[in-house]
Amino acid sequence: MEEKIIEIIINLTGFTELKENKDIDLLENEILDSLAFLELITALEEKFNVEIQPTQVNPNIWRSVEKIAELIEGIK
Amino acid sequence: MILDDILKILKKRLSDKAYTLDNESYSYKQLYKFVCNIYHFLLKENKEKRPVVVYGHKEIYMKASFIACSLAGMTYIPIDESIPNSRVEQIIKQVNPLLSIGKNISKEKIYEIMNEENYSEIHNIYLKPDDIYYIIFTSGSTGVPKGVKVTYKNLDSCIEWLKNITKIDKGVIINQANFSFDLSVADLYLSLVSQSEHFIISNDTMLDFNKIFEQLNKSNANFMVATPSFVDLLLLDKSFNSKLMPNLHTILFCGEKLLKTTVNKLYSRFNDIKIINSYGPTECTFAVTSYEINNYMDNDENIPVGVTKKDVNIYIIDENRNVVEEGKIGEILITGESVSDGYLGDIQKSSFIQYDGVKAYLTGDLGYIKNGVLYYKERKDKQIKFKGYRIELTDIENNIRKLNYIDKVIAVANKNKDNKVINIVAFVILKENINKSELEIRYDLKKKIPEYMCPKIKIVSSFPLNNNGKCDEKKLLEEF
Repeated sequence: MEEKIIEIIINLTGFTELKENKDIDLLENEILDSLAFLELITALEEKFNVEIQPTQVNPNIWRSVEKIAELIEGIK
Repeated sequence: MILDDILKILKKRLSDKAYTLDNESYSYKQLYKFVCNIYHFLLKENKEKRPVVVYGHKEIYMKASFIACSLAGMTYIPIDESIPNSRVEQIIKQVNPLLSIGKNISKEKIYEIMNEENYSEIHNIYLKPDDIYYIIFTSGSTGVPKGVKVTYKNLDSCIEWLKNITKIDKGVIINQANFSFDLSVADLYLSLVSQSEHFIISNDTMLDFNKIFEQLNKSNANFMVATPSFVDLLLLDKSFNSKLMPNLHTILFCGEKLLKTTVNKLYSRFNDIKIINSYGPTECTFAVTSYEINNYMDNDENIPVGVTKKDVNIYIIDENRNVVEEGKIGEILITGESVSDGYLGDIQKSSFIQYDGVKAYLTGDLGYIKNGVLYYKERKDKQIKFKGYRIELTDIENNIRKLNYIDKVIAVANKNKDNKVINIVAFVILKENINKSELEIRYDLKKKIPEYMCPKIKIVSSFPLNNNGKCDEKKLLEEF
């Protein structure tokens, strides 16, 4: 799951360093901006066949790959 | 003209809300007091009526200062706090103001001035129709921002037109854009002339969905001025619907291409909504064409940007500046009341030309006209639209080149299947023996250009070349 999420984020942002360091803070380092965020949610919904409601999600979840993976597991 | 209307409305001293930001509201009565105090301060302290810089982020003093400057006959230059200091300095150097509100007149000072309870009224409007109303700076291809000079006549014509197409009266208008982006001109002035409440969404609420949605719900807004990117973001959450915003009846879109998916999603969430698409460069005062949509769009045709306002003409021309046949693609040329006074200083005057004996603006946009309606196609140069902002890729490149460890750079817009820019990537080649990470480069660059312009950085060792010996941008993006 985490690897798939990393792949999606790298595809969207080109931030390849995520492969070596998956604990990097995605918001702090501005890897996810509002537009990448839009594309990320759409991609996650398509890939994992889930529905994500951003208002139902703690914004801090978007900081890390691990937390995003937990979120998807939880919805599935 | 609009300043007469605005002053008349302010003088009624209504207790109705005029401005709301972060749960704090100001009435028209309070706004009038703020404007009067700043107006008299400006007349006293800026006798030569030099242009006034107004710096900050959507605070009430910004709007009050804009109105006060105009009534006092002074041009104002709005600068948002998100713009990095070095770029602000470049702007201030070009403008050479005596007063910069939020800078040499500190925020504390301006609040002290505008809150003075014993204030004198305003009896004279000093701005003349041909005077410059505001100067808005946009991305310039050389790496230095360029200021577009918009006259009082330009703005008056724009707001009259917007009043007619939106028909808003005593409502609540949502603001998305910061004031240094000319999208905000529509909500800044429509709210005043229609005696509406101007409801501000501040930048720090932007990525916090709960906060934005709470604000949208609280606003009770019936009108919104937005970029398609912003509304796409809101649409991500299913609760962006008529339950959240029961009174929302019109969205005015501008700033970038509006897609059918956005329109159709909106109709699935809001039963009875009017969508207005519009088009126009900053050089032609916010917008010059509009197109009203009242229902789902199912045909294959692109969404038009619409019909021109009545005091403007649009021509589609070829390289020799001859009008092309209807339906054929060419460059969009604009003449008429919306064409601004050109750029500050003497940069790139070549896009302001004489056409058929009148002042005209060559947009650099390609489009076509079908059944009297304008369609936008794409840019003819390296200018792009990203999140509604207009960005010259060469502006980014020139600023990256200023970093002394960079050897070569090329900035490329990465587009999705709808031809919408999803991110900007700058491929860089470092000078020899330099050890910098991509994040470090981005960090250095953020001190030079606004955040929305900052590209993703990709360090490469060489650029692939195409058959013509030029850098193959497509191949670079593929490898990326």
